[in-house]
Amino acid sequence: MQDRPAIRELIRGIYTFLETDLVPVLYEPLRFHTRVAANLLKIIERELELEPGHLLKEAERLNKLLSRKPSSLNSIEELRAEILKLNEELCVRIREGEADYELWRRKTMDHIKQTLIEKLEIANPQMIEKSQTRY
Amino acid sequence: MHFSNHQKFEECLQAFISRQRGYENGRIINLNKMPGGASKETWAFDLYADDKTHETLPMVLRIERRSPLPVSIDLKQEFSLMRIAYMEGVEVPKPYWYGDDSLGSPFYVIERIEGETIVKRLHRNGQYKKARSLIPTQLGKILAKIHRISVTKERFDFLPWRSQDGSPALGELLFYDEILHQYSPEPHPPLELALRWLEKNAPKSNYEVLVHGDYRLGNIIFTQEGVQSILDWELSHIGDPMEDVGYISVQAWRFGNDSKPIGGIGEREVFYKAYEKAGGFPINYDSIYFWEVFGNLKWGIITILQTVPFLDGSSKSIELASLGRKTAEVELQLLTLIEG
Repeated sequence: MQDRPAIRELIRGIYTFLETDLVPVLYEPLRFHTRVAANLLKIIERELELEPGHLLKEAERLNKLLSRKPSSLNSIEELRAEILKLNEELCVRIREGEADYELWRRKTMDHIKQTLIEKLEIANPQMIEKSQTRY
Repeated sequence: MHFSNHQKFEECLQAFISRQRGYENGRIINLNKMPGGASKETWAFDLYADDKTHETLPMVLRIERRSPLPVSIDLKQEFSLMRIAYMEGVEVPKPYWYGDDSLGSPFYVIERIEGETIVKRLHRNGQYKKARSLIPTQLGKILAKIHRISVTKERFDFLPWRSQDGSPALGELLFYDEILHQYSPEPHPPLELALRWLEKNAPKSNYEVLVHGDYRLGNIIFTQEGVQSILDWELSHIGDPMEDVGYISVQAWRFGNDSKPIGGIGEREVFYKAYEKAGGFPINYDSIYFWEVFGNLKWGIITILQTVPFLDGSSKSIELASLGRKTAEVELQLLTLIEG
């Protein structure tokens, strides 16, 4: 086990350094790119916290939607591979027109919306509301 | 041939210009690389053209640095198109020369238009208050001018014509569908849902016009007097005039100011009326809705495409990397629009 600071503490340290020490003294385009880099570190910070829970929920929803038995998986890598496979199947079924009709349409929309909200909790929480702006 | 050496680059460009008729004595001054550009590099310079008149021409050079996005036309097509647009009186920089192989990669030289391109500044800075009120109307007028350029097969032979069964929309859709499945490293269920919706709702069109294809605030040069120039013609093609009319309202092009559907600064009706009044095609609201959804799909797919060079190591751009994590917000907007 490593000594402190821990991963999350290091990440916070790095983006704080980028934002408070570096950004103010930089010129464009480096200034913008440094902001982007700091923002990506914040994504990593949220992903470390939230991803395991999200993966479990996404796999559970996908298995239910596609009427599959949940398989027992040992690692997070296996879980990711499983989700990828299930998403490929979901794509094929949407392309074949299965989501054109109720009730499966509703169920598919609900699942996909929930998955996108979870992705944005990590990638850009501010966009969760905004992206649901109607026409 | 790659120029790590600025001086060598300038020498080759100087030699190229000296071969251009009427500019044999032209001298390059102040050659500087400008920021931005995902696959192209942009350089600014002044051309001291004439010892008698002391005339100095502000110029821009754009040169290909990486393979362009698979949805883009190439530099040569873009240059040919800008020549036509310029001739027809559209607000575009004056095109000078398309490059031969003297710089190692395709390039073109066009007039440098003074002004601003950063949309955030247009939104926020007090000095652009007047510009904000002028631009929606100006964009409507200019778009009508672009769409009224007479289109014949011979004249625009060099551009994509993708119409299928009387529907340019269906043709565009099939094209982006194919691109998505060819390039996306991962499955995207939200985009599949959007593709189904779009396929069912694709409008027919009686018109086939020159479509800019990326008509939005991020692709103009503006000053306090409003629009000076329309840039970035890489996504141009022949298609449905309503495509450009709908595309401008895609959420990402409102830059955070969602309550104003025209680029975050204007109301739909102002833009539509200006377009129609200036001779644009009849406004069709169903069709505009379709094209706004389509625009979101297109931008969603482009975020995926732009991340590819980062993923395969051919680019180390942090900005391209970050676009991969933008796809989800575009997808959620898409879902909201097709749920309706």
